[in-house]
Amino acid sequence: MDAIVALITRLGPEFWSTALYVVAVFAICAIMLIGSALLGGKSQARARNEPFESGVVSASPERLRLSAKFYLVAMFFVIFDVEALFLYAYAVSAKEVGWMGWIEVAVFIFILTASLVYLARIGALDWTPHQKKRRAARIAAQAAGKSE
Amino acid sequence: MFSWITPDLIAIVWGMVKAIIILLGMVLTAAYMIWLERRLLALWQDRYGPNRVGPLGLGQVIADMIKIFFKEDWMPPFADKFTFVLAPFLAMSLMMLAFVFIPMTPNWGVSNTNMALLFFLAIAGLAVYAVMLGGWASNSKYSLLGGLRSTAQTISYEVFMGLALMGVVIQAGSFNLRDIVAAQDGLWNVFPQILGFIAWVPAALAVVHRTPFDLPEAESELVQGYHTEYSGMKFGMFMVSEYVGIVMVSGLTVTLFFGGWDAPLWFDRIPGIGAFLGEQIPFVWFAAKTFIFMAGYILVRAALPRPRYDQIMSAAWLWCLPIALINLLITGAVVLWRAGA
Repeated sequence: MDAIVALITRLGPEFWSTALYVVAVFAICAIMLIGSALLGGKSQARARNEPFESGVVSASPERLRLSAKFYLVAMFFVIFDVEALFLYAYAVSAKEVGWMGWIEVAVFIFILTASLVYLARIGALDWTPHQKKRRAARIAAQAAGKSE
Repeated sequence: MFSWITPDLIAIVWGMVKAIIILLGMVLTAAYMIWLERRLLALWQDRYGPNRVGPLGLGQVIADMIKIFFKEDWMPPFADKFTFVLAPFLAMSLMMLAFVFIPMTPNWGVSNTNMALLFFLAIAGLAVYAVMLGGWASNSKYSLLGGLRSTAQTISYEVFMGLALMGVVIQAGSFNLRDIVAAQDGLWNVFPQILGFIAWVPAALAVVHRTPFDLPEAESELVQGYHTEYSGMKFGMFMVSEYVGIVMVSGLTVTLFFGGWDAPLWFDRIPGIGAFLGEQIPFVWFAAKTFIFMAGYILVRAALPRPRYDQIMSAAWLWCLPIALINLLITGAVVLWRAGA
């Protein structure tokens, strides 16, 4: 008995409360899923096994072709989130690295902001045709101004 | 005979009991958020809301829960079976897990670690999968569009969500939530970190897909978004996960910006009862502040219309991200200047 207790206490109270919490969370979710699967009724109907499309019979495959815009957003996310990670590392050590570190971070953030401004200027963050048209008109006006 | 019961063992058992109490308390609070939301929305819209089951309609939640357990657990034959079940499971368990490091009082809180805030950010990142997998596995057009929109929106808001919190981290010098609360003794972070807080509020709304950031489930155009094909308890889990998320994010907002269990204003300096208000009832302060933010979520839903998708995306990238970066720089400079380095 003493050996088991020694083994348990070696890990400390924080470990056990966290472990129990995690197990309990998964248990609650599993109980909800399994419980409703066992308790729920079963029924059949003619049109229920079709994907919901507001009552219209589906005319094309469900896997739609997606706007390329979403891939672009995902790529920006990867770029900016990785850069954010470096800033997390700076945030915990801000007092230790002093002004030298601050200046380096300022340069880093300046580059980050410059790329953000660039993305906004080339229209990578535009979602509506209205914004695109306005931008195209401005670029055309600039080109006309240069050629004169 | 009971010589093996050491104080260490008692501490472990007491810690585990506390963990279960916290978990159940949190889930119950989340469940009653549904009742609170329906009552408050009704109040602001000049109607009654649920008031029949039990006193003040408080039994409505229990009745709904029993009812949803007996609903048919329908699995669409066209869906990807495993992922279809995994999505609501992830949605709910992740939101509940994120509560694990939130300190409620000096002695209460499931656990404590130096990477608590990073853990929250990681959970917020993983929560995207719930919506994305749910939308994809349903194999239905509305679900796919809703899931896609939601993914793009959530990752856009995640970029600056962490950055908005980094000012708080610089001030405390730690990711540990207890250290962050301790660092707010005297002045709550919301005042020096007002820019960070301004950027955090939309991120906090977006991470749980609440109005005005509920475009993934915009019922006027996408039926129900990513959970169009979900029904019964699986739909219920998506819904409860939203409310668990509200409780969790409200608690986190209080911890990060509003001093955690610290007594507000001058309450701890009232002669006579000041010591009692300041030291003895930390949980009351924490719960009261958290409740204010939970009610704030409902008020936002009652008051604001749903913006267009392009407005939401440009707000994230062109306004909140620069604000968070500026806040980081200013905080770093002020902290260094005051330290006299």
